[in-house]
Amino acid sequence: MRYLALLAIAGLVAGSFYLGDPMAPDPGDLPAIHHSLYAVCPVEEGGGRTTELTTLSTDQGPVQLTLFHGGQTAGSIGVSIGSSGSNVIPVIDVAAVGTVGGLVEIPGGDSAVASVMRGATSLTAESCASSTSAQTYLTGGVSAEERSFVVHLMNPFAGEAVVDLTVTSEVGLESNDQFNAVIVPSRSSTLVDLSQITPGRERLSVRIDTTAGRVIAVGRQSGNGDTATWNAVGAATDWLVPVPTADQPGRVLVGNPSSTDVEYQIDAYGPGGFGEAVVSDSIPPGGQAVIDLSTLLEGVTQAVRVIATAPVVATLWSEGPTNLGVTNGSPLPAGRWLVAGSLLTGIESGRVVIFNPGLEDAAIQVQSMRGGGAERALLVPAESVIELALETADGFLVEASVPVVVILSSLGAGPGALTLGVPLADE
Amino acid sequence: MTAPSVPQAADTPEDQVVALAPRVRVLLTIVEGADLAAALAVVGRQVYDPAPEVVIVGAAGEIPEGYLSAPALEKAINETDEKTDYLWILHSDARPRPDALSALVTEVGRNQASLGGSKLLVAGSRDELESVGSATDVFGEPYSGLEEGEIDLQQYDVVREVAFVRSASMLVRRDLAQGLRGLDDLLPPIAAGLDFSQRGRLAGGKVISIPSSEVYHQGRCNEGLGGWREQAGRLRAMLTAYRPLTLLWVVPYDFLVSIVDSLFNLLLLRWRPGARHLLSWAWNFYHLPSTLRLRHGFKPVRVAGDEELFRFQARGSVRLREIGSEIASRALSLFDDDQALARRTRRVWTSPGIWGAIVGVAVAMFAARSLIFSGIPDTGFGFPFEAPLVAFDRWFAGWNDAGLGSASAVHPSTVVNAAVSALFVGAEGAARSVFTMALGVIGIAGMGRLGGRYGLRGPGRYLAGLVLLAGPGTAVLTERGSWTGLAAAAFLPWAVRAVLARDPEEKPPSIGEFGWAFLLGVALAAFSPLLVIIPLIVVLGSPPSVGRPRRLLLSLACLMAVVVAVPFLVGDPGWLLDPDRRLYALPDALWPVLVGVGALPLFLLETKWRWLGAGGAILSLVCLIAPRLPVGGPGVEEALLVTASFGAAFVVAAGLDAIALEPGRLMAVVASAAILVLSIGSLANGRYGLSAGGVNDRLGFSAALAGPSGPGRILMASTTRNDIPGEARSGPGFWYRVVDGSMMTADEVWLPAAEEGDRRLEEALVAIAAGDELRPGRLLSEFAIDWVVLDGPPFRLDDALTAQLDLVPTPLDPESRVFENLAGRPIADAGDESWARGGTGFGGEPTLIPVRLAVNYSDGWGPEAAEFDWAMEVDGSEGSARYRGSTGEMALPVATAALLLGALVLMGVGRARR
Repeated sequence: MRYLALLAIAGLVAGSFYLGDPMAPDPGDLPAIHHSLYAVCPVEEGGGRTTELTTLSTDQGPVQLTLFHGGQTAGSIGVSIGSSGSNVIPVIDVAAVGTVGGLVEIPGGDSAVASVMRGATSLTAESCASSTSAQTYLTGGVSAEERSFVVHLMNPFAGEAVVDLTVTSEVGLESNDQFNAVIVPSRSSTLVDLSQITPGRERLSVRIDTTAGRVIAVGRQSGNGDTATWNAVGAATDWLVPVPTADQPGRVLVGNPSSTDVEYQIDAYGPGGFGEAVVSDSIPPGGQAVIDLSTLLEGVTQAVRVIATAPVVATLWSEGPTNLGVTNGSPLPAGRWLVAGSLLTGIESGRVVIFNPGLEDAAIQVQSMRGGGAERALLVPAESVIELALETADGFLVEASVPVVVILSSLGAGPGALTLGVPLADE
Repeated sequence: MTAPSVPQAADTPEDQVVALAPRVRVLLTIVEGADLAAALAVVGRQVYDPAPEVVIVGAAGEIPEGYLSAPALEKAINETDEKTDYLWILHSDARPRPDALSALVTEVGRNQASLGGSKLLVAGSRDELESVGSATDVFGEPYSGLEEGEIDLQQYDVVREVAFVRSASMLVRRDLAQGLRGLDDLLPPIAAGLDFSQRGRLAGGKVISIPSSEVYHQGRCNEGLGGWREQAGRLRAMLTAYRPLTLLWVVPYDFLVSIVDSLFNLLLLRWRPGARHLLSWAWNFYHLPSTLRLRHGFKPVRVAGDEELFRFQARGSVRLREIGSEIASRALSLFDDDQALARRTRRVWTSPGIWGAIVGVAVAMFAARSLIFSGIPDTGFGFPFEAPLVAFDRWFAGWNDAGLGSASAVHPSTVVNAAVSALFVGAEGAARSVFTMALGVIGIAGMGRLGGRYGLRGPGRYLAGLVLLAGPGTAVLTERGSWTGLAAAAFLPWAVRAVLARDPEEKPPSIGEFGWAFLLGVALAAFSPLLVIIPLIVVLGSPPSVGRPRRLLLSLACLMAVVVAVPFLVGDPGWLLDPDRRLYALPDALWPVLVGVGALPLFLLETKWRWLGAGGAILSLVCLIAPRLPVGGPGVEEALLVTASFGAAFVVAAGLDAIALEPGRLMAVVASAAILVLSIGSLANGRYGLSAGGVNDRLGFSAALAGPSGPGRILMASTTRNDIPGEARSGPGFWYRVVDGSMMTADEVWLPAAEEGDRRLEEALVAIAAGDELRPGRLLSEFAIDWVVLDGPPFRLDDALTAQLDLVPTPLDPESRVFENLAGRPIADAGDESWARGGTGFGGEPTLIPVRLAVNYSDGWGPEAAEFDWAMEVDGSEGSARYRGSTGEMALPVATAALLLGALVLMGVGRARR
């Protein structure tokens, strides 16, 4: 009996090694992703200005536009995206609502929505934001010389949002009660007119900290009879900014949202080649650096890359006698882009600007998004930029063999606009 | 007086006697069953001049010739003439020594006292002391200071003032007795003595005990039995004697003492003290008018304040002191197999078993330090108890509120939690804290006592309790927050011990043992149902003995206790069978080696150690290996892991039973000590190894921000299984469950088998996780989900909830991502109105429209429940909705309760027989 017990114990100890660990419980497989998307767009209807919302999607299906204002639905319309992959909704067909927010719900697939606002002498376009962040940043903004700079805070979500604005200008940190705890009720939008609160400033930067709920912010700048709109975005250490050819001064603004000095450098790309660190300097906390593009590469700069030691925001600002275009750079290149904006195409100045920052040439396919739209192929050499004038379309799907950055520009003799495309995940 | 006849005095002339000694009259009170002739004879033998005249008080029949008689004591006292100096009140069951009266008269006179009592010795004994006068507490509870059976060695032979003397033999001044109108006829003997003594003292008299006056007392007057009449008499004596100001605090205090005493005795299955208190208060209430008359009559005689009584009273309550003493004695006896403490022998401190117990309990208390200072963590599988009535309601076929609700029975631990909470008069928090801390002591004492059954006498058997509580299996359970695992471990050795009855040769069979086996089986099965089979396995695995058949029967009684868990197991068989629901709690791979190595040296020792070591090691090893097989659900896993520690505890108990320098013993000690030290390591967190965390605190925002209808539900999700409190459902790539927004309680830990609502919730989560739904709040509102809490590393739901419209990210919990659902609907939705939770149901304002209840449909709901999609609607006109299980569902809980009651009766009968 004694030996039997010993044998049993030895066998069990050996058995414990033999058995090993069982399979850990598994919570099951993740479902296939089929993103329903939303996009939040600034809308201005009335006062001589009208808005069109251009929706592009690789999937067909219904699209719902809801205009929200004062906690209510100001108007709503349902349309569908067909085989062309695009749809344009003139907001005037929905409601004459003034300055409000528009929520576009898209069934899925890769999609992009752009808001294009047109007035008698103005044209502005910007891709609509489809995500939120607790901290975003608007670089640029002028409240001097009777120019208007307004921050448009939109909250299409459930629950009110509270934001703190940190406004910095050339005189330093601006202090005003109206910047603190700005409440944006659910399904409402709030306008913060900085030209009224801090008039006479040449270089304004705004950091938007959301302390409760969620908001999407855009900046709207008017000047020279034109208007420009651009999104508040999160900061990054690397920015790629294509620069469209224009007979007007262009500059890149680099804003520092952090509370410490940030070192940065500018690499410039032109017809003559690539210039590394053509500018390098530091930016004080909350401040911004203004790089006049005409001073780089003998005045012909087609793109720049901004590299910083801490997250910054880079914004392209192009201003002529009759027009103004502002858009953000892209923190990352991508292989696929959707660029929307029907009013920016089919005109003399309308063109797609494609920047290939890589070391390989990029084979590009550009497909028009409108019924019977054409498809074109071109090659963008490494570290160079190509501008492509295109036929009338609601937007374009740009597919590249290597990651590129794409913007849509309509800067010319009349009113014009700049808008960065929407990068898509690789297929 | 009916027969005026004076007995013959001594030959001395009368006037000379008066000059020499006081005149005494004996009031001999008739006690039923006492021999009157014998009493008269011993009175007649008193050596006292002048010879006292005798009055027989209360004689029903004829009285012997030559004696006076009186129907009542008061009459006898009042009719005594002024020539008499003293009255000797004597019971007819008392047998005074011949010099007893003389001693009384002499000492009363010498001490200028008014009342003197004799030393009472138990008649027929070898001078066993019954009374030498007593002190009392403020409630009149006698406190003699005598040990039971204490022999008279003249150790108390000093005349002293006392609180009271007994009426069995007392000498009182005639004038005082007449002033006080004698003894209170309504009072039994001791209370009467107390009352008379107190009134005598307040009237300016001195009450003394006179040990030189020895009286043998037959006790036929029922003195000393502590009946309810005595208790009532004491209360009446108190009400008669004290001033109103004293009564103002003494009466409520006495009432509280009565309650405490009753409850304590009820805990020990003694109902009589409670009944005595009840009768005592009722009797005094009934006799309150006569008590008031007595007070009124006593008022003119009173010359002293209550302070005069306080001088001779013990501080505090004698009864409370006795309760404390009994608790201490019972607590100590847990660790005192040899009854060394009870016998107060010196060898108690030389007993290694006692030292093992002391060290074990000290370590356990150190291991519970965080529980004492920070409370019991609410995490994993350990959550607060519900209110006792609600918990009882759930267990008696009530609604299981876990998840989206179910008619399936709740986990059986709910009923034990309810009982413990009830003992704490509904203070669930205190009940849970004290019970959890007590588990350490219960486990250690249980293992020690079980080891004692196997003949172990060393320190190892108690120290092995630490291995039981924190050994290889229990540690991984407690690490997952399994409170029931810890409780099951603590009760397992007691259940095993209950079936290991001593051999019939040593002790006659007791039906109480069957009661204990069932009762402890219920406690064990309530925490971990499968463990009730372990006692049977232990009996079958033990060497054959004469008592085995009886042990087998007791094992079956223990096994029957599984009835407490049958409704739960039947309602959710997956708890036993589904391996996917297991906690995945695996002991370290080193443990089997340690246990095996720990057992080997025991093979070199004596048979009892060898047998215990081998048996424990095999049991432990089997249970350490079995969880690695893909068989059985969480119930099996829990039972196996607790048993693994139980087996390892046997190895340690045998290994550390003796310490000697023999090689075999030395190796056993070292190996067992290694197991012990590694086990104690897991107790280092100060929470008995239970994981830290306060889920209810973290989720407190739900209740704090809830509307008038109370909080709804919270959806918790994470890719890490252990982030979810209680059981989690496996979802589309993550774990999730819904919890009650008001507070997660112990009954919610285990989720019942999935029903239609649960399937619908899973579908909704799949849609949300896939990004199909821009308004997940609207989708989740159907399930009354007000909050979504994502834990652990970011995962798919984080992405989905970032790109949605109607859930508000709210930074309420720094450890997780919290989203508020502003589109949420109440659980009981009546349109504009909503109902709140009330007990196990819902209630609110009556409505004319049906109320939608967001719980899985079951036809037990009422009034007029109608299936509405996966949920239901009930008639709102009554203002409440309740669930009641069917008669079939009620049958098992009722049967369990009946069996428990039967077990208690058996234990009571067993105790009475003993």
